[in-house]
Amino acid sequence: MRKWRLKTKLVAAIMAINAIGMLVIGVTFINKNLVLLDSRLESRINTELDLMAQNIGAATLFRDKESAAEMLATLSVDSAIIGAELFAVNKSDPLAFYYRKSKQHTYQPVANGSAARSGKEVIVDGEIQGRLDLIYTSLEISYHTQQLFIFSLTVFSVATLLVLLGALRTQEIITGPIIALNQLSRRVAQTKDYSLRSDINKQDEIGELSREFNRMLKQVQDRDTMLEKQVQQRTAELEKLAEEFRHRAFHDALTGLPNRAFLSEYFDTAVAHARRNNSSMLLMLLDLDNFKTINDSLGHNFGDELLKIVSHKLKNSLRSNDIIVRLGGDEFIILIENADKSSDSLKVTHRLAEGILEHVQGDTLIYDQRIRVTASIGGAFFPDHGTDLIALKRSADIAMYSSKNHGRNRFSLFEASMENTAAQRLVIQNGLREALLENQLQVVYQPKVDARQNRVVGCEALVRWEHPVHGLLLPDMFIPFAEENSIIRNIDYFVLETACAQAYHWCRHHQPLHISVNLSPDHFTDHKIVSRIREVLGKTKLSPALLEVEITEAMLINDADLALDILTCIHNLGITISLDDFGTGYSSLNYLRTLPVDIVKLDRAFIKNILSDPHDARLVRGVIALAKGLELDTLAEGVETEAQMQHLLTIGCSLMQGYYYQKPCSAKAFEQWLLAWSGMNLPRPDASHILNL
Amino acid sequence: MKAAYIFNFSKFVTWKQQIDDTIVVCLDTVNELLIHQLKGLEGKPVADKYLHISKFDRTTKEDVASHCHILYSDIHAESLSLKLHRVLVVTDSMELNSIIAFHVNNGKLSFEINAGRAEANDLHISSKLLQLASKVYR
Repeated sequence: MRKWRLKTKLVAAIMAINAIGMLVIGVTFINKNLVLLDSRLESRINTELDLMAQNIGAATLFRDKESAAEMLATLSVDSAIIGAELFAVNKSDPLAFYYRKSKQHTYQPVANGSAARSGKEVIVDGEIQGRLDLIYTSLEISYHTQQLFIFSLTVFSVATLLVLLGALRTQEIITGPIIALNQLSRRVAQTKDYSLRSDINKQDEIGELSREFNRMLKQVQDRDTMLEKQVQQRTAELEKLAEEFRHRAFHDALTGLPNRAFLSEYFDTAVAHARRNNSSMLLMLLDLDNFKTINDSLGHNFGDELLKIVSHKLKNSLRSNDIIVRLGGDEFIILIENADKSSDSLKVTHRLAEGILEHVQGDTLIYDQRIRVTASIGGAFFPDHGTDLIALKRSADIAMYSSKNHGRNRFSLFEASMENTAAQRLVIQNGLREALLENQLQVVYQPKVDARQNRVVGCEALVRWEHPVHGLLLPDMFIPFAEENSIIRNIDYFVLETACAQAYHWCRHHQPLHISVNLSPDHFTDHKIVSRIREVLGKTKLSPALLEVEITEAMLINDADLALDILTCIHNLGITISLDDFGTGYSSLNYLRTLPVDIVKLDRAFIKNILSDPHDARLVRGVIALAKGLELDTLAEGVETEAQMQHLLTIGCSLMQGYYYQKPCSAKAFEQWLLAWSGMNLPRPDASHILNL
Repeated sequence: MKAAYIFNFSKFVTWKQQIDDTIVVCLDTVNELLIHQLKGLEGKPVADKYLHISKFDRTTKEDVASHCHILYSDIHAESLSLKLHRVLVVTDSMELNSIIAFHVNNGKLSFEINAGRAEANDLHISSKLLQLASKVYR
């Protein structure tokens, strides 16, 4: 019943109510009729009984059977009466009787419930003369009831039919609009067409519902339109954003150049193209020289600014179809397609690379600071030096290292022999730890001489690696890799302890000599080195006054304040501090004032050209004057000739170190040299003293 | 049997004239049994009245009508040149003056009624009695 249509439900409800009503009326009516018929029959029978009892009095009195029977027979007009019996007083046999003779109403003495007997005394003149019994049946009531029932049924059927017609019409009026609305909503749901409208225009609740429905549809339609607009707008925004992300994914944020991801994608296409055309492709790896130092000493903002400017310059130096990618840091890759690697073209390639270097190098003004930028480039050809990006880049990297090793600011094309060097580098890096454990490291000593007094003032302890396979290795070949690994600390500790022990030995057995030890910038991140020096001095019994520590400006890289504090601690131990490689970095002369430095060591690069390059000569003179002003000593490194020695003496630098005197040598060789030198060179009288005379 | 009949007749006859409280049945017969039987009914109530049985003496020639209400005669009643006005004359056969006459039919006693004469005699005979009569004269 719940699944019935509204229409069916309504009709069923009307029909049910109608049926109940009619049933109640019908039952009441029939019941009333039954009672009425019953009482009517009874009163009729009684009347007839009375009448007959009166009329038959005479016949009874005269015992006139015939007459009595005749009279009783007149009862046949009443179909209800099926029998009558007249008894004289005190007689059990009837004086007269009448029984209805018919098929329907055959009298049976014992009636089956439908027959009843009603009796009355026959009274004549106040005397009871007999008794009259009437036997009657209520079958007529059943008959009448039956008739009534049939009639009622007919009325009921007709009424039901009429009500059904009425109900159908009524439901059509009521449910018609509802069904229409229902169909409309279903159509809307199926087609998603919100422009549909209900056309029911009534003033009743259905009409109201229909109007509300239409309003709702309109709202949905409006919202739909709005949403569609919003979606379009949002899609456009998203596409823009996606484009931006795509760009961002493939471009470097700082310089705007394509990035590594772009290169990975592009390289495959370029390789496919090169393979198709059977052409070559040149990959150049460019690395700025000393960028790390610039970044560390002048700040990251400065470094970033420099990268931007260099990127711009690089872009301008290339042809439009060449690709430049920033790999990260100060590394760039330049991809040149359709490069010819015939010998003629190799020149072209070199010219191209040199063009790039020319574009990059030169003074650049950043934040009011003039800076000189150079770069080193390594190049490798596809497919000769690598068929995939990793291999090709590795080859270029090796070539680039070669450029760095050959003085920077140059281009090198990959050669198979370079790979050996690179392999060596790896071997060295891996072998350092073993070297420390197995005493493969040696300490050598180079004398420092006061040229004015012709006196040995001390020596610098330097490290050498007696490599089991590659032979003797100079610090330049392994110290940079040791610094990458922090194993440098252990190397420095080793040198420190060995040198101190040696110095003490010399002090006891020969003469007191200043001994200087190099400390890597790596030590200046914590105070451990201070306690270590104290330990070593305690252990070797060397006086701190005989120990000198050589540092570089690079120690200020990480935390300048901390480094300064550590250095002050060392200085406070009574140890001499000298600033090594002065003039090579980008540090300002200001350091000389702030750092607790005693001696400034002029880099060998300046000394090398001191006689030929007036610019360098001027610079050295300036530094010496400045140091003197700050009451610092200056020591010249790399003095190789007497001319250099003489020149340095004239410009006021008396402390010297270099091959002119003695190359770094073992302790034993140093002792022999010292003996020999002392014998030959008695301390010269002070030149100034001579001048004063 | 006849006695009962006569007695019963009294119940279905109405006299138009006023009767006091006694219905007088005069017997003109020598049938002693009958007389005896009727005498047994002396004083029996009929409606609000009583029955009185009286021997009718022809010889007295008295006015029957003056005191008789019912007259039974088995001796040729027509010979009775009596003023029988207002008297129910019951005889054994239908005669000139008879209003009710007995007769035997198949051994069963029945009666005939001369309704016309009864009317003339200012008597009203109940229709019930008329119904019982084997023959009614008008």
